[in-house]
Amino acid sequence: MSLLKENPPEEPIIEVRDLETWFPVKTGLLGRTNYHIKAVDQVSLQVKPGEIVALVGESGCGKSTLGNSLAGLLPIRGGELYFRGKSALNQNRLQREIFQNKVQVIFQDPYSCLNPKHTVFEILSFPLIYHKICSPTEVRDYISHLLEQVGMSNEYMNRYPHAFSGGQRQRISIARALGMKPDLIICDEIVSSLDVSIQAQIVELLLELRNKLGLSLLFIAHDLSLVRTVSDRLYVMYLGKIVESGNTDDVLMNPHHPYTQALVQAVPTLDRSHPPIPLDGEVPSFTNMPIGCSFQNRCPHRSDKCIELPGISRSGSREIRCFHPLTEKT
Amino acid sequence: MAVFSSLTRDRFSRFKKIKRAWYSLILLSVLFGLSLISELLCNDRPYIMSYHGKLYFPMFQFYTEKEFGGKYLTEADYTNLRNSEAFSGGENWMVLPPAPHNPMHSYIDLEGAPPHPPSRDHWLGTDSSARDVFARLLYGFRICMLFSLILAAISTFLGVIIGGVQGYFGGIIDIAMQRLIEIWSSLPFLYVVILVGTIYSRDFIILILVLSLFQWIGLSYYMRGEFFKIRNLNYVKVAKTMGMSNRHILFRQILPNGLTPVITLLPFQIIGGIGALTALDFLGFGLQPPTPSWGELLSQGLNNLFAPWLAISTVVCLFTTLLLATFIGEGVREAFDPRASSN
Amino acid sequence: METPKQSKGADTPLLQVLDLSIGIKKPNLTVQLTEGVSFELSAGKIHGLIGESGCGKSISSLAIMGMLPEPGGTLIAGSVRFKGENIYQMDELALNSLRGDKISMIFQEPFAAMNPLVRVGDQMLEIFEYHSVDFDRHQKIRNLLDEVGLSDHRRILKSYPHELSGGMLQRIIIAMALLLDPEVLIADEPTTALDVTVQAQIMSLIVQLCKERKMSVLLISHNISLMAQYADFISVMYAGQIVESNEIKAFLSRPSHPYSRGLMGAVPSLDRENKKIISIPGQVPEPGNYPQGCRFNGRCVDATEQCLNEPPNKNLENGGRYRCHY
Repeated sequence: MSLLKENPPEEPIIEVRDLETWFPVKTGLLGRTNYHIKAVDQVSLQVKPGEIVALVGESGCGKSTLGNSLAGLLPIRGGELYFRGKSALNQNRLQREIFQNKVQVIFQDPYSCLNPKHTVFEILSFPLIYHKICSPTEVRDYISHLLEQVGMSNEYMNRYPHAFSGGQRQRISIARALGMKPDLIICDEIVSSLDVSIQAQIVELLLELRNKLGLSLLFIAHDLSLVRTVSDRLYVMYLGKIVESGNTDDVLMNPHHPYTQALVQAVPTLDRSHPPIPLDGEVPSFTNMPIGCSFQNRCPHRSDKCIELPGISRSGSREIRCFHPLTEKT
Repeated sequence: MAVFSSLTRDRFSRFKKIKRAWYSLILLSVLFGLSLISELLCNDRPYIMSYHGKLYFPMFQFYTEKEFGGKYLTEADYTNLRNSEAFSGGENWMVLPPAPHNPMHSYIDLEGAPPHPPSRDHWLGTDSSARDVFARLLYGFRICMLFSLILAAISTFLGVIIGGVQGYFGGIIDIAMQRLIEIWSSLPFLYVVILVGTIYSRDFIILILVLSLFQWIGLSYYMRGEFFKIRNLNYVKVAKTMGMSNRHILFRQILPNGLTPVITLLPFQIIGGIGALTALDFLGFGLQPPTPSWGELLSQGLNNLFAPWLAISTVVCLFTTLLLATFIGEGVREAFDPRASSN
Repeated sequence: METPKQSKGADTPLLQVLDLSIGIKKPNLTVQLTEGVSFELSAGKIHGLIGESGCGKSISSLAIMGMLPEPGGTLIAGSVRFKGENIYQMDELALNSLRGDKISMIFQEPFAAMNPLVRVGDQMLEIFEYHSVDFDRHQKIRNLLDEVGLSDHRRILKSYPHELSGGMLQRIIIAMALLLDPEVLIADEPTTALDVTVQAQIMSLIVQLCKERKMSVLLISHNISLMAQYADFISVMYAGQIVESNEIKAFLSRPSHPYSRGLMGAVPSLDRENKKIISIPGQVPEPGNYPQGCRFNGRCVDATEQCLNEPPNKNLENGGRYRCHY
């Protein structure tokens, strides 16, 4: 029951190009749709086999919307979605199911992700039996194995969720996702509501699973420091667009986009000689976005050119959307 | 199964701690249980009798009048037999149930005109047709409880399904059904009952069917809300992303969590059923006479105010039953209160 | 128990928490939630109280205002002294005038702290309903809005909470807390619900207000980097006890208690060369289920047999202290 995938190393597990997800905004007496909010606007990203890719941004930037769209919870309005090289939009039902089982999602709140009326065994076994991942006779052993992989003893199988702490519940959610033998797990802020020492435990677990099973992860988070410990590559989102992407260490140590730099500078570290530098202003709302670059209202390097939407410029493995990239280390 | 999760056991033990509710439940159940065996407790047929040296079991077997010296082949009238000379000596004997009266039998031989006041023979007197009041109350209690329990079961079933479908699917289905329910609930149910009762006979089954057409509406509102709320919880979303079928999500994920209103409303549904039946019987649109019924006794009581034992005994019975059910309902509600701490 | 001397100079502690032990009374027993908590707040200084969930920091912070957990909260031992006076010996009237006026508090969720149905301006005015003042209230409100960096007074006062962003609301809440010019501000996770860029804004605002007004601030958080940047002193709480207490720079250069070291190791930080984080095994014990002796026993990598006994309080050079055998 090895979960290792055989894949030519270069082909991404999942790739999106110019993905768009909109929410209609109904105003007026008759509730007519006046315009749309582009929560995900022309986003392109990819996750390669065995990679842990992080998607960061502040609240309301659209990262969770993107995660939900990839999981099939929200309809995708535009762009392309490829799964292992094959287009995954406009699929017939069976193919969609296969795609969805190969991509699993784990959500943030450990307290509402597990049905309080089901035992751990039932929680884990329902999807396994439904999708015929294993037969009813094998299921108990398989679940035992899954629990072991996430560091839980199998005497927990007959307990109910309320007996467990937040960290343990997330482990159960991870086991549930693993049971489906996925190629990609989308982790939507899964450690944000856990204590620091427990966060570290879960991160260790994820790294271990990636190393042992070749699992790919899309790690959505808002904590830059945490993302550095867990991910190989990083995408930074702002108001629905990806503004910068590249290798995690490179991007965080040497940001090229002004927003990324502002983010990095605002994070408190343990080094008192480098206090956090606040970024002025507030995130504009989606209904009130500036024309052109969405960061221009708060950008210290703004110029007149920025009323046009910047395209994606590449240098090496780094991609950014800016007319004034910071190419020197600050 | 999951229904008896430790959470449920917690709630049950919390319920038990509320003494008033727990004892009410025990008392009501015991009384209901006794009423189920009314024939064994309150009947003019003896368990066992000896006539001319031979043993008979009238409670359990049919004997004709002829057996005991009568002329016809109809069932023997044990009351008359009891009072006849054949049983006044020590030769023949009967062992009678504790309340030796038949609710349908008119004791016209008693002194004075019916309704007769309470006496040693007739603990609560007789009604205006000279029938024993205690017997009629007991048998009436059984009918009342059975009626409301069955009614509650049917309307719970309908309410859960209809409300559940509305809450889960939402959208146009919810809106369309909601409009239909609004129209339906504006029908005056009393007129419908009277109409149907006039066209068809007014028996137990018909009444239950007609009333259950309306009783589910209240519960469906709650269930719609519960399902709507639960549908948006993360564990349901997770089930969706894992490709589980609608059937699985509805029955295994949502339903076990949405049953709280059902349990908390059940005692009050029963109260409602008792009230509905009693009111219909009182107005004369309920069960056909001579079925023993509290409502009918109440209306007799109203018409015979100089015989207060009729009204008083019925009211006391009604009050006690509804009070017990209310205590149970309150206890359930408190036990299920999500804010009460469990340790 | 002696409290550490936090300064060598003239700042006398404005607020002293001495050996505070809070519990909850249940039908059969009393569950102790905090034990022997002691720290001091001085004017113009920020004291950080750090710990993970369930360690008792929020309970301690509420207890400073005389608010015990409901239902059944009880003071088992200790006292809280504001300018020398024990607040647990004050009557209800004196305590009420203390709250909001001398000691003020702000919480984590800005949206949950405000009434969604009342305009912001009216909510700010409500503060004055319970404390009579002799200055111009409206002018005071406007002054305070300026102080927290909100200049568009009219629009803000007319708005409902949901019309404003989280950052702006938190500033308003800080302004509300300062309307009566308190001497102590308790900030319970004030930036946890905010984005990191807004967090930096709010924290520098709090620091500025603390220095300018010579207020003392109790900053409660689970984020040790936040403490590192903004606190002057730090107390680390674990399982209801303070396990280490020190001046921040000394603490950062040399944390003494194994839990403190574990926290530092488990916390990812952008500036470190090595990005690996080391988790602390196990979980925080529940109140009533504490291990025998040292409460960190069972998760401590350096535990020995001696740790089955109550660890002693050890003093450090500059007035800090910690609770460990080693």
